[in-house]
Amino acid sequence: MMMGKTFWIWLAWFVFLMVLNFTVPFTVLSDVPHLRGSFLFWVIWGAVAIASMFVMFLGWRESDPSAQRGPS
Amino acid sequence: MSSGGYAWTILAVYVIVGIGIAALARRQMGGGMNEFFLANRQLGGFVAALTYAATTYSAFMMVGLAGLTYKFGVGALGFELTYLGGLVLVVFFGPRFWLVGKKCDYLTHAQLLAERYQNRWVGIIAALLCLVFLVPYAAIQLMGIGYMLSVISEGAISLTIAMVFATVLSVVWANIAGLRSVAWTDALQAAIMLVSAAVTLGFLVYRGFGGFEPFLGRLNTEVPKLLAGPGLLKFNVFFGLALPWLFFSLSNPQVTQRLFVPRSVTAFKQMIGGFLIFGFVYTLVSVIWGFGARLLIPDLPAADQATPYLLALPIIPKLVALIVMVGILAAAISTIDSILLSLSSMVSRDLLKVGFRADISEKTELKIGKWVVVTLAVVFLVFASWAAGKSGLAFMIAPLSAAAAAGLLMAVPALIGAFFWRGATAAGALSSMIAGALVVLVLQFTGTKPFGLWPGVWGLIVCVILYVGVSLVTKPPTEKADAFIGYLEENLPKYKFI
Repeated sequence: MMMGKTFWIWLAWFVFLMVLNFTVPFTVLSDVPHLRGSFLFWVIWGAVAIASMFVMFLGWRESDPSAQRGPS
Repeated sequence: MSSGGYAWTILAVYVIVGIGIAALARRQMGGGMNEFFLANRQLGGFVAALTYAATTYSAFMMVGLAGLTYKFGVGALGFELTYLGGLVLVVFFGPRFWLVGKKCDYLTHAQLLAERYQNRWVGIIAALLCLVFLVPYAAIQLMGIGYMLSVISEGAISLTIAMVFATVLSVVWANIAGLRSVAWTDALQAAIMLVSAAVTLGFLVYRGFGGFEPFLGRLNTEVPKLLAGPGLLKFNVFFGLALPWLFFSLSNPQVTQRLFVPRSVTAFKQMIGGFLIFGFVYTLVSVIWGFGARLLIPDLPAADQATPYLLALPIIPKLVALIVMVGILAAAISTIDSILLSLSSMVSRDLLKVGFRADISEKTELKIGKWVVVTLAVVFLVFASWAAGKSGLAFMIAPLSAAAAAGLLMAVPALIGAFFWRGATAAGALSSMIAGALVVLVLQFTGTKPFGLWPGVWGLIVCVILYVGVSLVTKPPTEKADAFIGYLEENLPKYKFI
């Protein structure tokens, strides 16, 4: 399936987010024994991921079902 | 009135209201498989969001996730939010499921796979994977209910009685009007889950600690080890738990089936958006709850008992504790009845009709599906009774959930490939699912973790290698692949789907 530029940008963004998710608390924040460490990181990380998804799907729109014609 | 008396009274109210809602849903019910298992693909966005939330979030959250936080600390938050971040898979694949589901009248993802790969065995194996791995997942819901009701009611409701009660209720709500009654009761249950958990958290923080500031201060000073880095979760454990969770939204049939049901694009958007907000709040509440338990009752013998013991403390008013108990019960039942419906649709459609008896009528198929609901419920109950007697990490609710998710993960490469890779073959899909599942089962039962990596990680490595490798040396169903992927290429832009 041919994927557009938008797809690759979002894919790169979410791969980046996942890399942060699996590395930052285990490295940069491993010596921060405080709520301002990993707890705050993951809360912000979650909020950013969710906001990104809203941006992704808010542009969807209804289509005229009668206009759909595909191979059977 | 005694604790047991209050508990049974509140449960009776919950059951009566739930049955009333299910009966209302039945008034709108038509006939046939699509109607019973998919609510005729006509769910509105609000109900779709709440049923997605209630189905996804189970007793695991306020019992298992709270227990995981109690034992390991902040890594539990990262683990659960990884799942929520993985919902981008629904944003991406959801519209694809929805479009081909409507066009080809798919009832399950196994049916989609069988047709896409032009091989009924692909559907049969995908359905069997779900059957094998969802039994422990459903059973832990019953265990969660059992633990909690027996403690909160101070023994008035035994573990076994609680599990039987939940099983019977799940079967009744699933059979009254299929997905329609499940979705409507789910909407009620999701509201109970979130509101009761948030209100009780307020009591915990203000009556247990004197407010948020003292609570957070005590966390920083008394349990710093649970806050540093990922807490006490080592990377391999975190990765082993989080990886299957990341793909949960594609691997679990009870949630993939919900990708077929929104009645419009607007309803689909509302479903995803509503669920994301619900999930974020519910995750935070459950994790903070687990931290609160760690500070107030630090020496529990089993982490899974953190929530029931917390609810039994005098700082939580008895009535509030009982309402939370119903909230957790609701979370578990809403997951169990959805799993029952989903698995029974797979048995009747993928194993029976597509698999071996194409000639059976839709009426017979539906009748069999309804009986499978009852049979599977008994299997869940037997497994839960057995597992509830065990102890130790292997039988903690969270790892058992992750183990189930690890097995289900083995169908994900074949699913993703179905939408993208014209060269993917039935042999690749079959070998990847079978070998991956065997690896997970062997490692899980022997307790082996080569190089410290969990079963799901090894299973996925084997699964992906076989899927790609075998597909490259076998012949793909080119005509079907072109039609399937071509249809999506033509129609996705019409809705501005990515």
